[in-house]
Amino acid sequence: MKKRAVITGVGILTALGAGLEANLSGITQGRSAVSGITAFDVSGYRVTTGGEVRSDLACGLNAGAKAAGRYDRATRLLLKAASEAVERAGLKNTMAENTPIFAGTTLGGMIGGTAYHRALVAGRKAKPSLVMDYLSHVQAARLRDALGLTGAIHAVSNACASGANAIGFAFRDIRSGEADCAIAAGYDTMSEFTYAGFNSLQALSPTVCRPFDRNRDGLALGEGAAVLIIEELDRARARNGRIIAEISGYGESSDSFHITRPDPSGAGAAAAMEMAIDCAGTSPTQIDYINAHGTGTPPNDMMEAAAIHTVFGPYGERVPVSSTKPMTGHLLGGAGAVEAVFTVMAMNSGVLLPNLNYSARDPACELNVIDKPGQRADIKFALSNSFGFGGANAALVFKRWAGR
Amino acid sequence: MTTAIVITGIGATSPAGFGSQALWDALVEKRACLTPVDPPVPKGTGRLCGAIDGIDAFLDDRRWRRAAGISKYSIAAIRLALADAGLDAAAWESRETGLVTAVTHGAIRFTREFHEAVIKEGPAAASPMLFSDSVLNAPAGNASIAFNVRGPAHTVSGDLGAGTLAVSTALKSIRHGGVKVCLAGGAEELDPVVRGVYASLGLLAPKRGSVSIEAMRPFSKEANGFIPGEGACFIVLEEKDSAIERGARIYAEVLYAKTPLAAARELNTDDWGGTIVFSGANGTSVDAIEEAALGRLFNNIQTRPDICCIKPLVGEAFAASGMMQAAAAAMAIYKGATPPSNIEGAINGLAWARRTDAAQARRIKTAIASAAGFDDGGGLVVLKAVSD
Repeated sequence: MKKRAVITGVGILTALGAGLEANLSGITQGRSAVSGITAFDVSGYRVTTGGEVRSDLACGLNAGAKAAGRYDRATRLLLKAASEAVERAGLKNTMAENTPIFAGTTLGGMIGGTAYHRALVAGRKAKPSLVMDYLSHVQAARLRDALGLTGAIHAVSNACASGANAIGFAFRDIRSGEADCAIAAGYDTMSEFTYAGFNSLQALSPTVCRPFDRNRDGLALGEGAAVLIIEELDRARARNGRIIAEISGYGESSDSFHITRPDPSGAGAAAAMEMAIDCAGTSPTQIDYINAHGTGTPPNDMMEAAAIHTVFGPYGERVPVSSTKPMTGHLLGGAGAVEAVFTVMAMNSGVLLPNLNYSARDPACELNVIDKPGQRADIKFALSNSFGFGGANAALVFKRWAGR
Repeated sequence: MTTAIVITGIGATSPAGFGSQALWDALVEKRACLTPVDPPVPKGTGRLCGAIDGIDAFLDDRRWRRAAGISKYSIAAIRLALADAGLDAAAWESRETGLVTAVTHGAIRFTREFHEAVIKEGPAAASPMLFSDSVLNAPAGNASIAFNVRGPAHTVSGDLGAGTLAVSTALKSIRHGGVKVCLAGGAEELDPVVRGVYASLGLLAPKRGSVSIEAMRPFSKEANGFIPGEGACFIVLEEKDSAIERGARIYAEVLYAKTPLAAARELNTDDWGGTIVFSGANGTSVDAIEEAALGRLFNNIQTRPDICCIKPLVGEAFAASGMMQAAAAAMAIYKGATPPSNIEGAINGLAWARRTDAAQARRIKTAIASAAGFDDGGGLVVLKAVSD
């Protein structure tokens, strides 16, 4: 008998704000936090907006000013979200030492890395302290140390699917009995490196991010982190932990198609969704809401719509779908984790999240796109999609917690 | 009862050459495959490295001509591993095939070149090609395209424990993720900026300029840092039953693969018998941590395990090294031989291990790849001989 995995704590940090309340009010009201970039000079760029985190990053886990100053911004985003998650789970200072951490990121400590390199190129002395957090597994190591843990850190970097993979890996370990409690996270920073990269690929929207709309013209970048405490059901019950939702399915696949472009047939994405729904022991018609990857680029959304139609058949035109990226920007390695939290919030508050800026139907994306905030719905099962460069596809199925 | 998973193929792109046999030969012959770094060598940055020579000639596939070095090394190593395993990527069930690639610094050269253009000439000079191939999962993405992998293609990251993480992730994909055949590997490429960072942290073996296995001295009282290396190594993992069914050659069974190294305290080594440890020691502070952890692991063993260090021969290639250690462990079991230890001079500790100066033929029941990590906590892979 496979064990069941439940979420007992969440922490979140996006451009919408720090913490569950700020994000819940932002996403249910349909507020976009995408605005002018301040982290670096955007004067040479065609596009100048993004979803930056402007919250205070101080938190219980990086309280020492010395430690906070030493950490890369990526580490600080992760610690801030983790601090909230651990607190909400009621596991502050009581987490078992061997609790594993699964963390998804695309960039790791790129902010420090580029600062180091910039100094080097300018002929100034480059301080090695800038790159102590550069490698993409180090943020998870800092979190492990800040929590006083000694367990494994599983850093996963499958581009924009990373956050969903981290949750999926944790889910799998709970299900198989490998662990009875795990921390799963996704995070990334707003860095000029990525901004210049997506700009060079002409993937940034010069107008607004409008996923699935006929006139969509690209994505908005964002930053932030989300952390989930995932526990085995019986253990969570035994300690009277508050159960937020159940993770009931995970699927993964790759396109084997192109390093940046998705396979237009959506076959890989469909395989990941089918696997997740199958793993959850449910069927596509039982899915009440899809939190789409929906980047707002023409190829991604067309591919995702095709994949949804493959998996859902005729129901594909009716199942409610939205992308929350116009509100927060695309958080890359953080997206899968942040959107997992959003999906659970939608489920628990009985509200379909709005897909902002959607106005013109695209015949290539015939979906039931939720174009207005405030629509009520009874969501028992919800699906969250994440796809990334390299053809990485991941999908998660969540089940509303009904007490058993 | 967990499913038995075995190694049926090994491919390595290392400073010793192309193919796992080249790596094994270097180990057995105690041949340091190091070269002087390209000048100019800034003060204190270390004068030797373990570099790959001739990848473009070996990888005669024009699709990957412009890919980053780390992607080329990975694709070459996977091609070798599949040939070794007798598998045809064009014919396999692609959705049931997985790939896990461990990286440390990733495609660091493209990362640096892309960023340098942005700094010096502004966003208009940014190359989309360098950007898309600089992403950490580009080696896995490219390999999934090259070898028709449509199951998961994961990239995991870490430092000296990353190789173990790739193996443990692959095992889980087979046991719980619907994957039948999974490639697990590690890859790393050299870069002067990375070398400069480690030099400024005092972690590189700076002085000795002559090519010899004494240039880098793991466990030594005179240890003074590591020599950077590069390359890729991949193994083919599959269920024992299906490997037997298709008549595959089996190197070894994977008994255990977990991070961090400290988790290995749960293991009981009493009946392991003829064991060899392929250590991740690199002449820095991690050596003492690994030495202490293995000392605890083998405190009851009747026969002291042999020990072998591969890094004095090919350099420290982080995620790639971890997998080269695991590959060497599989080869030692299959070939029934222990390479020399490659630990020179006066040492710290290691009373629990047996050092040898020359290769010896012997039946090996258990072989281990171990490493303590800088930040990742390291890891341990235990392989055992498959009878019949």
